[in-house]
Amino acid sequence: MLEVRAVTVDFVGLRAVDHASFTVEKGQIVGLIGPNGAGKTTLFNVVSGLVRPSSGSVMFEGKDLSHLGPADRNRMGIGRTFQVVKPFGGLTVLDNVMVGALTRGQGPAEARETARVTLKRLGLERFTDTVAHSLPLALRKRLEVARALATGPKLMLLDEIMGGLNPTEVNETLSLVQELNAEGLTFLVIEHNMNAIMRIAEKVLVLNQGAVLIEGPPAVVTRDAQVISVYLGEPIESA
Amino acid sequence: MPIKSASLTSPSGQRIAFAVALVLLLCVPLVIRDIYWLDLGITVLIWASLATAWNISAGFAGGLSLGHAAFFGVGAYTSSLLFLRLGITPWIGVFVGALLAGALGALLGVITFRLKGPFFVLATLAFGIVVHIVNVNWRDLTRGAAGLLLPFRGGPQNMLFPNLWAYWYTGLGLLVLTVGISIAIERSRLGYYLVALREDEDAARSLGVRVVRSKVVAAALSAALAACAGAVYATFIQYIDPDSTTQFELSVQIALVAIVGGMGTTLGPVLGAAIVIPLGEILRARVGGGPALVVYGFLLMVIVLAAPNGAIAGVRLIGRRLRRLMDSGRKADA
Repeated sequence: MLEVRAVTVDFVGLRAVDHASFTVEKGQIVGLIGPNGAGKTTLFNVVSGLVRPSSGSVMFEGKDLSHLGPADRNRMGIGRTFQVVKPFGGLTVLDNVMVGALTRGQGPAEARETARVTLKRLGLERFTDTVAHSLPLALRKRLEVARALATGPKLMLLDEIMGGLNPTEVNETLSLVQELNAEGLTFLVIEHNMNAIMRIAEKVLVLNQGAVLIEGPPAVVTRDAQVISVYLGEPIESA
Repeated sequence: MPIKSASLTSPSGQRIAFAVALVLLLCVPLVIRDIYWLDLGITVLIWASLATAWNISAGFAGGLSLGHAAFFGVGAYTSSLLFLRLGITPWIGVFVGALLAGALGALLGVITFRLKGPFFVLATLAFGIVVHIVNVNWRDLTRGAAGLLLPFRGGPQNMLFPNLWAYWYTGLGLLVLTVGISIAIERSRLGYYLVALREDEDAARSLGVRVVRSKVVAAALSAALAACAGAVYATFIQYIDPDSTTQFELSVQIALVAIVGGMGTTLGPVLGAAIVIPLGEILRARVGGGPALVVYGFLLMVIVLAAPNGAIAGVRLIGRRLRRLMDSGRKADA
């Protein structure tokens, strides 16, 4: 479904992503992990179209996305959240989600309905008329997901949506991802919560200094000596 | 349970409030017979429309334009020149001017959509100044600083009226048109896109909002409506020159009116015109000259400091307090 081919991103004096290649198959949940500064979010920006790679390409459902901007990529079925949340602060929660539904081609009335259904699904319906910037961070993260879901994506890029959540909330989020996945949505997930990602991911990619260090099933990846040394520094017990 | 009354913020309450306001405005010429006040009222209507037009690109989309006098001028000159040179009635000229200004607005939108903050402001400012310079120097077409005098010919079919009340209704029609379009945009898909882009462009794009299309359409609509105001202004004053149509000070005044009233809201610019225009006029008449400008500037500062989100925010706050007061009064009765 998604194919990232030898993507390199050079910022001034810094190679953020270094010949990264990987694929995500339809129906998978793929985890993307790596230490801070490994280039995970930059890679997301390349896939969603906010950053143009210095070289390499991104294919989605067999089509080259190189010449498409973020809006067109979203309309093709790529939804994303932002690690540093970007709510439309002055708008209500409902209006935030409506924007996502409107770009699917729905009219305002229909989009409002889609937004309500989406909010309910994410347990945000109590905050329908709350102005987005007054939501606490955990809920703003959920709003990110709601907004992206409302666009009706085929592939969802989640950028650390579990940071700062308590264990109950993490569990809720994991079940939601699995539920949506069962309904056919494909996921690429950046996550620092190792325990969480290992529970849901079918495949895990480890990014280090911009390059894909290793990819494979969670159990294999966590046992890899290289991963342990560069990323974790010490063995994981809970996996 | 509090009794549900049609509040001003509910859709039905809004419709009632608009209807009441419209009826009141329709009655104004019947009540106000004094030419001076009616004249001032017409000026307020034109400015309210102009600020509303500005607000579509600046308030909703967040691109603070300091070049909107250019579109006002294009509207005023297009309809006046079509009338003077080709005998085409301003009733048609207003739409030709709107089309021309709309195209110019779209062009400016295409050039500036990438620019942010002060860079966008400077680009629009430069654009306005260029149009003004062209206006002053293209004497063959515009007669430059000499200006254009609209001869009183033909009457109503040429948007030229022997009495002020007819101008009042023309101005009111203009205001209903601009506010109507402004409300329609606010509730449409485009309105949501513009506000989303204003709040966070990257997030909006990632949700499928197309930046160029949305911003260019907004810029074109805004410019076209500003041109309509220009055309009506020209037939009302019957004399236009670069100083009264395309000058930089005018662009600042447009922004000022909308900001004082509350940019980004539908009624803010209208309220702003109702405050700023009479204030300037009364000071000019009573105090006069330089001192008037000093007092004017001072009062504007006071208003902006007292209501940083615009006068409309203050009005809403008072409305909410009154409602709460009434609600508690009702509870006390029961």
